Amino acid sequence: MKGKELVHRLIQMLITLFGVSLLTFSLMYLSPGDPVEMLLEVADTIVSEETIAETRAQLGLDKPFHVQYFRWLAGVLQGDMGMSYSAKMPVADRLWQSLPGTMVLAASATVTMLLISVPCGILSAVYRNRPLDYLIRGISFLGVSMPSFWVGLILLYVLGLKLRLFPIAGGEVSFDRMILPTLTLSIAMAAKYTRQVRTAVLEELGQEYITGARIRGFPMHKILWRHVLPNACLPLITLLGLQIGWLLGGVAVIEMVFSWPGLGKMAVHAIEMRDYPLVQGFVLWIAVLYMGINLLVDISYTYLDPRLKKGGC
Amino acid sequence: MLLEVSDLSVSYGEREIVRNVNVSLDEGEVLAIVGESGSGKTTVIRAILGCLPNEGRVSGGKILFEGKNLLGNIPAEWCRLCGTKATMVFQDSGSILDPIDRIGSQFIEYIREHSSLTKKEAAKAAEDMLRKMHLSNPENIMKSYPFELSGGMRQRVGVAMAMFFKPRLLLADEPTSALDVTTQAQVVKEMMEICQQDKTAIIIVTHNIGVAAYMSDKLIVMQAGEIVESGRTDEIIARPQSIYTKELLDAVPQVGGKSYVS
Ligand SMILES: Nc1ncnc2c1ncn2[C@@H]1O[C@H](COP(=O)(O)OP(=O)(O)OP(=O)(O)O)[C@@H](O)[C@H]1O
Ligand SMILES: [Mg+2]
Repeated sequence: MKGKELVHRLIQMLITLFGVSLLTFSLMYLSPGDPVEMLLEVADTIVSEETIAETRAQLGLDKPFHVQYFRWLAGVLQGDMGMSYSAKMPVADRLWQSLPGTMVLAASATVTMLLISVPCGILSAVYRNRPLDYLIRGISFLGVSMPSFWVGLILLYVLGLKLRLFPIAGGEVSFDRMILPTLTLSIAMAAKYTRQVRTAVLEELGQEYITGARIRGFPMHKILWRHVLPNACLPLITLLGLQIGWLLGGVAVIEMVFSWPGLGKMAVHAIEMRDYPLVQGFVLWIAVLYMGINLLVDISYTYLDPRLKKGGC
Repeated sequence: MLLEVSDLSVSYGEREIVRNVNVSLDEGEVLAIVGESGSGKTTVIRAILGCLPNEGRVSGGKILFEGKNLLGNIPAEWCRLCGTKATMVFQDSGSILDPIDRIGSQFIEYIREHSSLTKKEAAKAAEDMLRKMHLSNPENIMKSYPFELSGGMRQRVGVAMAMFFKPRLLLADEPTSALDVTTQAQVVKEMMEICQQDKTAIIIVTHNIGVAAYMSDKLIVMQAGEIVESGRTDEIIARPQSIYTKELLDAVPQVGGKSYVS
């Protein structure tokens, strides 16, 4: 990717971010529920109309929509994402607190997913239409059809509650508490990715250069490692980017199921509390992450495929 | 006898595409197969080296190479045979190379698969071989990706790789039909020179009966999966027996004119 294209992409990303923030801001504005009441309800006291009005004015919620939005936008452009109502601290700090939990979980789920699906996908393709292939495809079909929150609950019930192999209540980031949520997320992702690996490898196995390599006397395992996998990597990297996109959303649900202290759990809580600035901050961060990953995918593509690097076909 | 194919039949799925094909070839002999599109020429030569497409399989007959029936080969035996004793050149040598790997890296990998040369020695040997195929700038070609070469260069690289280990048998499937007439003639000539030096036997599939007449000792004419005529090239061209061969010859007025290829 050349410098000019990169600048182009970055501008595109900025425009998208603007659109995303405007959209979430509108959705929050239109949704029922009042942050002020939520805030004061927690205090569990009877509050007067005046206090409510006062707090509302303090938070700037009495202003019309566009004023609120542009005030927020101006803050963000100066690096200030505002104060979280519910956490009573700057949004940036609150995000920063929850970030490690989610990142650790997402990374371990992605690695586990790759460890499962790459070998299974390759085996499935190489032993196409034989018992092993049917077995792998059957399992992956099952995996795709089960909603991940349900898988999470079952794992919790069987491995946590019945067999007592893992702690069931979350609350802190630790290795043994991470195993079940990691497993849940990677099952869902691996089920899908195994099929995609299989398809990509099959596609490469049908290419003429495989015949060429066989005619040159290479054994199949060398052809697989040296040629099939590097070529299959190209489409698979794009698909991996999409998987990680799904993960960013899926992780929120799983964090709730396992009560894992990460961004997802924080976001759900923020929505319940109508904590507008925190929700905005969360959405912005996810959007940046998502677009960043896609950008990385495209950049890595140009390095891995010489046909793109040299501006060929 | 180097190669003896008897009563070969090949099927794709349930459909029998090629029936009762007999081919015999001595050391250093050149055999041309001609015939209309879809008559099964590619199928025959692919069957010989066990590289039919997925659904294809040999449904009958024998293929003896140096006295050994290839149809009983296990994968390891194919690896010992292919690439050293028997090799193949395809219509587009670019498409049989890994598109995201440099020519040099693939050539060196190939040489080292079948010899104990070091990387450096292999690179030097590869460049020498490219030079032998009249490629003037072998260092550059080694650094290029397949898509960066012209059709003529790609075919020369294909021949250079196929001839590297001085195979006993070279199968060539329309090796020049993607090239313009002048380049066609050059590549065919260069290929012939190297094969004559190494006493390599050739089976060449071609649409160009001029090419066939110029280079082959024997000729096989195929139609709809069967051999309609086979024998010495000069005899067939002088006195074609089957109607189909006569039609083929009539369609190419330049036949006697070897000028077409020389
Ligand atoms: N992979 C395949 N699956 C099914 N049928 C095939 C396959 N490849 C070839 N065939 C059939 O086999 C027949 C012979 O094909 P083949 O490629 O051997 O012909 P050919 O003589 O090489 O033709 P051309 O001159 O066009 O290269 C054709 O009728 C074709 O439809
Ligand atoms: Mg053909």
